[in-house]
Amino acid sequence: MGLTKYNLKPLILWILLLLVVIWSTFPVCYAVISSFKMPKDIYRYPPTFIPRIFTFKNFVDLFNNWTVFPQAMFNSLVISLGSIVLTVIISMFAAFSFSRFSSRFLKGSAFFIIAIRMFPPIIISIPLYPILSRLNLADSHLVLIVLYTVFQVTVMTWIFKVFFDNIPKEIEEAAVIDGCSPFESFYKIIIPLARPSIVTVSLLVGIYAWNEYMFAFLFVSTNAKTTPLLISEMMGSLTGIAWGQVFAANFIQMVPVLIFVLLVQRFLVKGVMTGAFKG
Amino acid sequence: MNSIKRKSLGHYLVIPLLLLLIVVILIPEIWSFALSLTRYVPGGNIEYRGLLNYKNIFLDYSFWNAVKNNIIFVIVVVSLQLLLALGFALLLATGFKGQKIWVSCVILPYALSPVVTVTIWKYMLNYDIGIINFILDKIGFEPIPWLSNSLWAFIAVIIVYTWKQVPFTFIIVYPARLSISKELYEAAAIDGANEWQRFRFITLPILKPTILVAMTFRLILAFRAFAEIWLLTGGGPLKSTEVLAIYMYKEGFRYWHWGISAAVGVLILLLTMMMSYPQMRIMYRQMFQNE
Repeated sequence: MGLTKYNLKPLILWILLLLVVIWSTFPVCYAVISSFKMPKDIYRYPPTFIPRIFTFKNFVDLFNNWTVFPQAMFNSLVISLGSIVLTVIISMFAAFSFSRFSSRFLKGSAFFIIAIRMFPPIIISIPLYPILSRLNLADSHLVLIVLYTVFQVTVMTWIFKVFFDNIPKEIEEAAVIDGCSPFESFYKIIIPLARPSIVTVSLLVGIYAWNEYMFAFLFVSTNAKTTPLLISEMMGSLTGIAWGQVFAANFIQMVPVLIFVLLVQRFLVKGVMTGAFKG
Repeated sequence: MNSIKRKSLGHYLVIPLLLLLIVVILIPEIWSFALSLTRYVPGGNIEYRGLLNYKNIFLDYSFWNAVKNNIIFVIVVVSLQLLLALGFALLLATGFKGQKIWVSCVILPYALSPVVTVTIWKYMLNYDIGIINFILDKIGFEPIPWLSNSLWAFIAVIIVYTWKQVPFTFIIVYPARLSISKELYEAAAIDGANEWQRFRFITLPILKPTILVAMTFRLILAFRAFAEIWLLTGGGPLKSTEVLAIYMYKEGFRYWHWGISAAVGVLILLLTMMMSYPQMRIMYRQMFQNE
């Protein structure tokens, strides 16, 4: 209180805010700016923040030296979209059951789903890898889509369930009385009303699948190579890391997601919160 | 109970989810438990060994090293995350011009791939050209061998992991702090409570359940940390940053000790379930709270 008297408090708060913002954003800004530096400036000591020469050379080099990069981007896109569609369908159906019905069967299922949600993803890689490689499935888009779905679908069921709980049952009952079949009332009434939660869930699953590293690293080698996996390979180069190209790849990989997150921040915050509290 | 007469359909809608979880997680995990009792190399024979794998694990120095690293890592990382997220939430809750932009800034690291995160930090932590050693040099410190010294590598892993994970905790704590009504603070101020007292007797007690939920989740997730550590240090130097997930990965995918790796997986699962049990009960109760 003493500080307010001298009006120092707002100043201190703004300085603290500045520190928080630097901590959270500096690494990202630094990487973004570095992707437009001349390669030799990236290695320069003392380091400079602002590029001395602004150049697209790193992007050109990236596409020349890593010709699989566009393919990796495409793989990531297919896998992300596949995971979103599969997760939304499966978790929306399950959430509708949990929200509208009650029985011993559903209570048992709920317990099972909650327990499964806690399983660390890495532990199933050991049993799955030998089977999948024998079936020649390991290095495929489908495997990553299914794995990403499986480890997101339980949380997303919760998010949908919380959302459905807030839609009054009377709306569907009225529809049924008006002659809608239960199935019709689900896709004609519930799904349109659930649109915001579909956006939230798609966003959370999409970001996860677009960025995921561990499963891609464990199961995928060439066919379904994702962007994060390719970038990690660029870092492992024996002839030294071509930082310029790594930053160019980082830029292309992260900027779409960052813009997306800024645009739909509201959905994101709500989704993570619901996911954390209600299961 | 239910006025809508389609109980049977209601059951079927949950079945795709159950099937998926059973086929992709439950059955493989049971198979994994079976494998943990055998000597097995993919493509080779399976040979029953009883509990020998477990015995060997408990006699392995590297296992206990990974356990120790994992425990220290989890405690430090979760404490740091909670402190930072709480601090950020309290600061931002005071309200600034352009609030939305600042909130976005704080949750920015959430949207990055672990791979991108690690590449950026590896560049900044570089011994020769990194900006962090440059700043340390400017303010009069020796350059730090971030990734080649055991202790500093551990600290580097903690910094990078914390940086990436703070937004998850912030997203939970910040809205909870915002939902505390202003009147409470005003009333306390009238009664003569100072800032610390208001924090201690209003903010903290109200946020406590939220912080506990966040803590449980962060504990469980930090316990299984793999990507950030593996990408930054590969568990080195000299296994100084090797945690259980990396130990398990190396036993299986590198040394081809599939049975041992499966056994480590079973142990990780058991420990996770012990940590999650209180949270699972809460979630189960909440699921049917509307009845």
